Amino acid sequence: MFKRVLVANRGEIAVRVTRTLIEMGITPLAIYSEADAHALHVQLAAEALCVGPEASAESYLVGSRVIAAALELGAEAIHPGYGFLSENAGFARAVMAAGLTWIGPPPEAIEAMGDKLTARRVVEAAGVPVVPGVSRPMRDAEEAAAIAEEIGYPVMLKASAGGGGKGMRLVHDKAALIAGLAAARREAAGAFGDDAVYIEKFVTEPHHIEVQVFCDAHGACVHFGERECSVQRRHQKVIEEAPSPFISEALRQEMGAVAVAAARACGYVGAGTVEFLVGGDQRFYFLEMNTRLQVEHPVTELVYGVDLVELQLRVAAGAPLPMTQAEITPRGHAIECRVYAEDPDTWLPAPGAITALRWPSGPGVRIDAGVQDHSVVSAAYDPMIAKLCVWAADRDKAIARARRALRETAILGITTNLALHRRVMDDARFIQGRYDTGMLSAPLSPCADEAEDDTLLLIAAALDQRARDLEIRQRARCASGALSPWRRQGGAGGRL
Amino acid sequence: MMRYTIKRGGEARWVQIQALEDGLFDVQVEGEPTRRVRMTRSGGRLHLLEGADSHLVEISGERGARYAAIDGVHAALEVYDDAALRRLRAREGLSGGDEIIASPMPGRVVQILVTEGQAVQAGQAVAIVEAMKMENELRAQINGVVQAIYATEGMQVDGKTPLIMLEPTT
Repeated sequence: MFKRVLVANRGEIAVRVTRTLIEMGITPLAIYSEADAHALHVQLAAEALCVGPEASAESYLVGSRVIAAALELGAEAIHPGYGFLSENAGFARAVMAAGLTWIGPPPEAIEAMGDKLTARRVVEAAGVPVVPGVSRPMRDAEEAAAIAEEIGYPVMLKASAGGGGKGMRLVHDKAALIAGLAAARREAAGAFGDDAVYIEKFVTEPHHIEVQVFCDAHGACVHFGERECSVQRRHQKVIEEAPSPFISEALRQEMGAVAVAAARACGYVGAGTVEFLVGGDQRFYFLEMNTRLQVEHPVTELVYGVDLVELQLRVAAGAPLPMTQAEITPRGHAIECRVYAEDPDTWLPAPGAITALRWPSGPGVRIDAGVQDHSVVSAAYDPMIAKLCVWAADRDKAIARARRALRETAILGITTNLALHRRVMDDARFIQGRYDTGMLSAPLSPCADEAEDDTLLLIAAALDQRARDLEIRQRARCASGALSPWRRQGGAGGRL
Repeated sequence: MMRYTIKRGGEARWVQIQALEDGLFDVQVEGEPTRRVRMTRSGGRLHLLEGADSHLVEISGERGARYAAIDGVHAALEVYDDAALRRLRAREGLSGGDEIIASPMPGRVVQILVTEGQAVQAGQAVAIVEAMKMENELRAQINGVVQAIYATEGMQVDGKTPLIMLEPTT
């Protein structure tokens, strides 16, 4: 096993990977931007190097600097986390060329799955069902409109190099298509340096369900069931759960087998996620494969009792998978709430300084946070600051536990989407497991006790202010000496 | 008896406090009945006890930008005593709010969608600002005519930077 590993990331995922390194007795090494010098992931690491200024394009995304830091720190391997350079085949190759181990899939697999259009072709050839659409970049609005007419509205515009909802637009008619194509291109060019956008039919009552796969370098490939990721805003996941309340056991097995086939089709090694779109009719289609650890991997870890990062490290070091498919069985239910620094009504990002922080604790609660008290959430990075996860014996108990954990949570100084999570946990569609990706398209009803809590907040703020005002007056009096207890007792001054 | 006015978003309500004995208060929020509350306070944490209902409150920040959370419900509040409220009212009389369209967060101006002299409707998108890698549309809150544009495309802006000024129409 490795003795020193560099985590080439920041925020909650760098913290999460570092924790497993510590548990395995591996020396954790970190990189950071100038803005992250005091970040939690740096404080947890044994050694760390600065790789550039705040802008990630000049720090975390500069592969040569990351590799130079790894070599200087004496790392044997690099764990890329998710985002940044994790799905960059050129970076993976450069890591290996520098004599380091790449904790991720082979660069060829990243390339095959990294471009969504190539991925469609590769998995289609392996018999994996795909969504009707045109798997090549649109030349212009005219061509896009013609294809949309052919496969029928509504259609989805997607960035070829995309991910995380960037460069994606759902459009219902030609006018929206033309405007949406320009916006999707601009967003894709900004986020990925590639403005190629393609078109897919939009599946109705869509569910976003993904399967966790894991392959070793010796030909074994297994899956760890599915994650239901249908609670989304702006095409980005907000809440995930495992198992999915929507699919049948037979469909679960079928999707697992297809996901393993997709992974095998691209010669996969390591942890990967095969994303599917599942219609209201329970027909499923391949969406994409994420060739890295997924943000929402904790729900799988909780339900299957595995540490996926530990498995990644063992497989990267050449060990075979320690379990067979028959030995992989789920237990209980897990839910993840992604805590975003954003307004829960407008989805607008809300960076700022955290002035107070209280995380929940107790049975079945797991917090993966990249921030701590007094952290500054920068506008330069992703607004996701933490993941609040719960596990319980069944789904109803998991929802009750999530509700309890959310009530224990306080994040002050910045606006977060915690209120949205509370509302989802009280939403009848969520409670009954009857929701799709349209769940957050309309505002959710307030929780029953929200108005009462709002009133209590005013009471608390007023009582707090009164106490502060009295303290200030007290100090002023003491300073003037007018009411000094020594004087009142008749002495000319204090005497002990 | 002490009275504070607390603003949250656009809404302001007063809260009246009568101290009874150490840590026990009669509190009335504007428009609601009086309630008897026991409060203990330590640093940025308050404990409220009302009958058998117990709540932990986290509270921080300055008087003009106070943050508080109770049972997972969060709010940004402004707290004023009567004197501070009079000063605020005097200041607000001088300038309105909705005719200035400002960036709600630090970011980069991607596109200005209007030109000077153009008429806009409430709800109409007037600019696109990119922050945290996402594009966000800023919308006019009122009907009006674009009087001035302060921002240029590609410009980096701070939160609350005015981008566009409207002349309200009725």
